[in-house]
Amino acid sequence: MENVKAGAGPIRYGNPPDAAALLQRRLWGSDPVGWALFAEPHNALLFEAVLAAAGVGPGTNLLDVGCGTGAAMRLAHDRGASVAGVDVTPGLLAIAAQRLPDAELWCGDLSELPFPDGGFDAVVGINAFQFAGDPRAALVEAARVTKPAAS
Amino acid sequence: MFAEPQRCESTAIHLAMAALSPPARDADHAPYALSAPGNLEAAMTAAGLELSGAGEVPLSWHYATVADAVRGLLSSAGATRAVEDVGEQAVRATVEGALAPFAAVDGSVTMRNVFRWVAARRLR
Repeated sequence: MENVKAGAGPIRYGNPPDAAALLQRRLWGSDPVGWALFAEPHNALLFEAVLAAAGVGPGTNLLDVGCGTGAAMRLAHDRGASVAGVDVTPGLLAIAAQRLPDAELWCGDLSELPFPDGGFDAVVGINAFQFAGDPRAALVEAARVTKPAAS
Repeated sequence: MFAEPQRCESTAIHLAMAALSPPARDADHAPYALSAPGNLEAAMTAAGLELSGAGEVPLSWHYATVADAVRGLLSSAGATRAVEDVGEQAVRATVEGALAPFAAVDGSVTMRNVFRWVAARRLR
């Protein structure tokens, strides 16, 4: 996992992040492999609880806001969901791209999601919104891209 | 997200690392920014969402060795902030010291935390 292997899916880039988001990119990007191996796995039960609460299952079109290295997306994929993720830190996304070569991955600000209104059956942000440059704006964006009457 | 800081043993590590940076940098990394009861719910409601559920998940952060715990914790944003201010060696020593109360005789480390989730629906 130290390097991005051939076969990893592409990472797309949205509009340039603002200063607050760039700060988070720097702070979260020091050791993506360490995060993937020695930090993120501790939260697996939380990921499962959130995916269950969001009703993620076969055919769900899911967006993970602040997806990090893709651990929750991997679990959602295993449930049969179609997954997309956004994160501001390229190093974390590079690992997500290895784990989920077919996922739609975007690098950018959580406060400006590159998706149309109502495009996802479910949107999750797990231990993520409080780290957005503007948490409340990120929640508004998450709501915007969620299909009406969906979780 | 994290439940209230007093319900998370890893708060001790967060506070130890945060103390290495000047107060002016407190807002750069604020893991408990939405953790007070009702804060996340209010933000989601303000975003136009209708709350539909909530719950808590106890998580045991268990590391086989102190070295694993240090690697994991130093990969976090709070550690990076501290490293920027005092250097990695000082942060590593601080984290190792703060982990001592959570280390077992077999060398493993366990911290018990509580996380909260809130579900909501977009009505229109």
